[in-house]
Formats: sequence, C-alpha cells, structure tokens
Amino acid sequence: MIGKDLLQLRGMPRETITEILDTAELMREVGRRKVKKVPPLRGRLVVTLFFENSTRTKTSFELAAKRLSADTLSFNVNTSSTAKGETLMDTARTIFAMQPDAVVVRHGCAGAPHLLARNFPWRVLNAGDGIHEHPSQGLLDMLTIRDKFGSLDGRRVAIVGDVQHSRVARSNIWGLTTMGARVVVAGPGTMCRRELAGLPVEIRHTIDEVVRDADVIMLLRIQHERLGRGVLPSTREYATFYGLDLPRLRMAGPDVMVMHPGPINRGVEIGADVADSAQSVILDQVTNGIAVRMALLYLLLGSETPGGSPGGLHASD
Amino acid sequence: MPRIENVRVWGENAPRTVTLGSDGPSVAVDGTGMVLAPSLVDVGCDPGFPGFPVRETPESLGNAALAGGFGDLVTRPCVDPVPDQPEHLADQRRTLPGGVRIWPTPAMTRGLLGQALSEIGLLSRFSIPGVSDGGGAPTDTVILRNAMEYANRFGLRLWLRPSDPMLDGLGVVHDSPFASVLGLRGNPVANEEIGLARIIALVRGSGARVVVGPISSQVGVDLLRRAAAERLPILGYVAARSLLLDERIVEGAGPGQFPYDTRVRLHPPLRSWDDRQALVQAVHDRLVIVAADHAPRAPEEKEIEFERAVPGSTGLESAFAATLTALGGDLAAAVQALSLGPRALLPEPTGGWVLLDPGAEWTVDAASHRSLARNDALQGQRLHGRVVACFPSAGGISGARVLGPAHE
Repeated sequence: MIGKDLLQLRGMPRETITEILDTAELMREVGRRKVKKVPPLRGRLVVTLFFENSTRTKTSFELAAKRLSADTLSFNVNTSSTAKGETLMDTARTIFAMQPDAVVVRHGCAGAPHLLARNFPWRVLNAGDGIHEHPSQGLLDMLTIRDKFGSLDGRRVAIVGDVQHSRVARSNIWGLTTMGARVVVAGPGTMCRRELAGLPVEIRHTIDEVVRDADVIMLLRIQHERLGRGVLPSTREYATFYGLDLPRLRMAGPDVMVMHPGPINRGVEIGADVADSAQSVILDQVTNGIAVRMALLYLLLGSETPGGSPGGLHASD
Repeated sequence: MPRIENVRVWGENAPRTVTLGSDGPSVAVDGTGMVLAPSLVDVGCDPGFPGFPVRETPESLGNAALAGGFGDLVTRPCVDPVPDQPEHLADQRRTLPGGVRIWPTPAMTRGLLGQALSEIGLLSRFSIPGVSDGGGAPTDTVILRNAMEYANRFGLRLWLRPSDPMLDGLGVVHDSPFASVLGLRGNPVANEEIGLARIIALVRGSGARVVVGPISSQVGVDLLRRAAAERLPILGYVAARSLLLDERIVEGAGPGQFPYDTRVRLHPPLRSWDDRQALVQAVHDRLVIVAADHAPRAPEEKEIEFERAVPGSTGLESAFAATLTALGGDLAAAVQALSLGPRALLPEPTGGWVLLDPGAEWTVDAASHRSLARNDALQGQRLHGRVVACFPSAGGISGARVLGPAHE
C-alpha cells in the first residue's frame, strides 16, 4: 500500500497514512522494551545520504534502522566534494555498487529524491528535499497530534513562521489536510506569500489570529542564513510579531499543543518559558520520530524479507 | 534535383509538379496532401559551437535544422569565445553541412558583460541581422540605451531578452501557487514586465529596432500590443513549445512524464494556462513571430537536480509541429510566424524551401532527433504536422508567387 518510495505526503492516501501511524505505535512499543531491537530487517542495508547537515533526522533514521536490525551506512557528502564536480547521479552510482536496500536522502534541491527513485531500484526515503517536503517529519508530527487528540479529523492546526521556505510545513499541510485537519498559516509577507494559495491552507498575517482557536500551534525554525535580501529585518522584529510568548500561549488556552521541529531558537520563534511549558511536546516529537521512521523502513522493506510475511517484531524471531 | 509531384506550392491553389535546384540526384517525391513553403528561420538559436562540443557540432546542428525544416538560423552569442570582435566573425563558418545558413548576432557588449559596447560598427560589416544581449539583460540601463542609439546608426537590430537584471535570476519555474506546491522558487511575471517596459521606453526615445523574446506571459503580450499600436519598431517572438506547454508540465502527471523533469527547466519558465492562451492569440494576431529557441544541453547539464539543471530545450525538430498544433492547424499562421515573419529580419534575401505534411501526426521522441542533445521539452507530445524535407539552397520556383524572401 505504501508504494516503492516515500517521496512526499502530497497525494498519499488517508489509508496509507493511517497504516504508517498505526505501525509506528507498534514500533514505539519496541522502544519501551529493555532490549530495543527486533530482527525483521536483519541483513538489509540502509544508507543515509545527506547532502545537507543534519543531526536529528539522520540519527533518528539510523537508530530506527538499527532497532530493526538493519545495517546502516552513513554517506556524508560535504559541499566540497560536490564542488569537486561529482554529480548526484554519480554519487548514487557509487552507492548503488554497495547494493543498499533503502537510501535515506536529504538534499538541498526539490525533487532530488524523485530523481534517485526514478533511476535506481532501491527504496528512497525523502529526509528533506529543498523547500519541498520532509515527509517523515510530517508523519511524526501527525502521530504526536493523534496521541493527544485521538484523531486528526477536525483539528485546527496553526503553522507559524517561514512557511514559504519550509519543507516541514508542506509535508504537514498535505498530511494533516488529508486526515481531515484544518491548517491555518501565519507569518510575515515574505514568508507566507500569496502563492501559498496553491496549498490547502488559509493564510493569515498575524499570529494572534491563528493561535486563538488553534488546537495545535506548530512553530517553524527561523533560519538565520535565509534572512538576507530583505526577507526579515531582524530576529527581534520576528520575535515581536510572530514569536510565541507566554501571553500568546495563554490566549490559545490550556489545552493547546505546541510543536517545533527543532532545533529551537529560544527567544525568537518560541519563548524560553513556552518551550519548557507543559503544552510543549517537542521531546515527544523526537521519540515519535524514531517510531515513525522504524514504521517507514519496516513497511518499505519488511514485506520483502525472505521467507516471511511482515512480522518479526518479537526479539525471539 | 528532387522532383515533387502533385504538391501545393505556397501561395498557389492547384497542386502541380515542382523541380527544385539543379544539382543532386534526381528523385521523385509524391507530394500529395503536402505543401511546399519557404523554409523556416529560427530567430533564437544557441548553436553550441564553438566551445560546447557536447551540445552540438556543425554537423548535428545542420542535420537538426534540416529535419526541422529550417534553412536559416539566427544564432545567439552564447558560445565560447563570445563573439564580440570582427575577428570572431571572420573565422566563423556561415553555412552548415546540408546548406543551412548561420546568421550570427554577436555580443552587444564586450564579453556579454554589459559594461562596454562591442565594436558594433566593425561587426556590422559582416552581414549580420543585429547584435544581442546573449539572453542576459544588462544591469546598466545607460549601456542599453547607448547600445540602441549606437547600433541603430549602423542599421542593426538589437536582440534583447525582456527581463529585469535582478529579478531574472530568481526562481526556476513560474512564480505561482503551483510553484509553492512543488517547493520550487518562482520567477515572477514582473521580471518580464519590467524588462520589456524598460526596452519599450528606450526604443521610444532612440528609435532603435529591437527583437525581444522569448515572450512568456500575457503581460508581455499586452505590452507588445501597446507598443505595436504606437508603431514602435519592436518585434516580439515566442518559443514554439510555450504555445503548447504550461507550468503544470513540471508536475509530470501525464503519461510518460515525471515530476521535476529537467527538460522543462526553461528560461523564461513555462507560465500559466492563461499566459499560454495569450501567446497563442498573439501568434494568430501576427503580433509576434515564433522561434524554435533551440538550446541544446549536454546530459551532464540535464541529468541533475531540477534547480541546478542548465535551462533550455532543443527546439528545431519539433517547432513547426508544435506551432501548427497549438494554432489548431492554421498553416498560414504557422508559416507566417516561423518563416515569412522571421525572414524579414535577415540582412539579405534568403531562399530555401520546406516540404510540409500538415496532416501527419507523430509523437516527439528526442532519441530519434538529429541534434546531439536530447533535451526536448516536448518529449512525448503528440503533434500534428510534419517536416518531410528541407531544401535550404533551392532558389526560386518558376511561377511561384512567393519567391524566397519577403525582405523589407
């Protein structure tokens, strides 16, 4: 049902998302055991191919693969070797020679995972492509919301910040709306442009408008390297108009859930006291990230395990 | 000495037998249902040589032109070395294998840097249609104005890209809600609007004759319409493929298509459905002419990430059929846009004929193209109208009302 690759949440059917989230719940149970390792991907090779710096997503995928007993290989392509002229396709051919079963790829260009998926037989998991999508992040966010509210249907999710340049936001927007949630976005005009109308979202321009009746407030990281050329005058200005501080949190009510894909900029998009508040689920997101990535690897690779139906979640298998 | 039987000659009504030229083996072709028209002229061709042997060679370009019905190519200075001195033109071959003629538009500014004028007067001695900005509008508006005033005195046109120098580098697809979905940065229509408005204002002041293109948007068409109403000497062209394709092709949802296909990474980008309709209407209205906008690219320039791929598409071998298809089979409009209109821009009368089969249907497959490059944005498109043969060196046809050029 999940298909060959995980490239994007746009177009992914509701049933598939539900299957992934249900499987992730099983995987989370594995993580609570004393022995946190199960055998279904024994002998399979999962390569992480990261063209951009990442600690969280990469370690999360690697840990997920290890817990399923897969071998992992980390292929870091620093910018200098790209500068030396090796193309994405050439790098991929090198990896092809190592006969991987799945490749987790992060790349600065939208569509780079699609290029690999079309040209190579292994499963491709998109770990972030440019400003396009970051599907495993979207799924883990959806799992976190489902944990608290039981269902995504009818939930009101506010995404605040640089939606224009956010792959996290795009994946969440597609996934959440497929599951019946309503998504409202807010941010400065340069970060929530009118062109976002192509996505199934409502666009507002002040944070107060969106937090008031939100069940979930999802904050996006302000990326300092993107502040050039007049996108934003200063982080102080951003914090003043779009930062989630305590008064704004109170406006949202006690039951609101505050999310952030990390790493957070305390005092910019999120007040320090808000990050540490009871409403913040930032650390749950990390835990759920491992479970969702286990589910994805399991669903993409597990059913191919020789001699078996997808099973093997018992340590004794 | 080909003999074509039962063919309708352009401008005539009754089919007849025509013999072209006086050399070559004597072969007879059944021209039933076909039309013999003045051969086509591409007003926007990246030749690929000198400097880019992986894109095109003189042989491959000549063969591609013949296969597409083009007898004359107006070439851009996007080659290495950049032709900006008379010595470059003295060395350059002007006829390709197969008899296809090259009409270079050398660089308007030295090295295409937009800082100092090339020796436009000395360049004008080489029978050229004009000088070109090479597809990159100069940042310095004073340079552009001076180039217009200077070139005009030597009877040369200027081939200009309607773009704003700063906005031009922004984005890789049309800036629209659709770009937001794909996670690609968009290039705004304002790029074309500002660039074209600047050119129009400077033409109004200088009287220079200008060829602008590729025009990609409805706003661009509207500006050209106003310039035409003012009788300003500005002629716009559109790329044939932009009459058929719009931004949605980047999603790759159609049969045989795939998302982020770098063949549709173009500059200017394919814009909206409405923009495309406006371009088609402009061709119908004879407001603009059509270019093949031939831009061959090597595999290593295209088999990479969409955002990093070198923009451009080949065009010679699909331009006629794309135009005829987009115009709903209006052959008169297609020949006007691809042949008669562009011929008026050449510095000398030119001959050449093309044998067209307007009723044929075919599917574009770049693997069978004669061009060295395989990057045709129209790959997989079902088109109407086919080029059967091209005779670039054939002169006049006795009794034909259109005797080669429609030279002004």
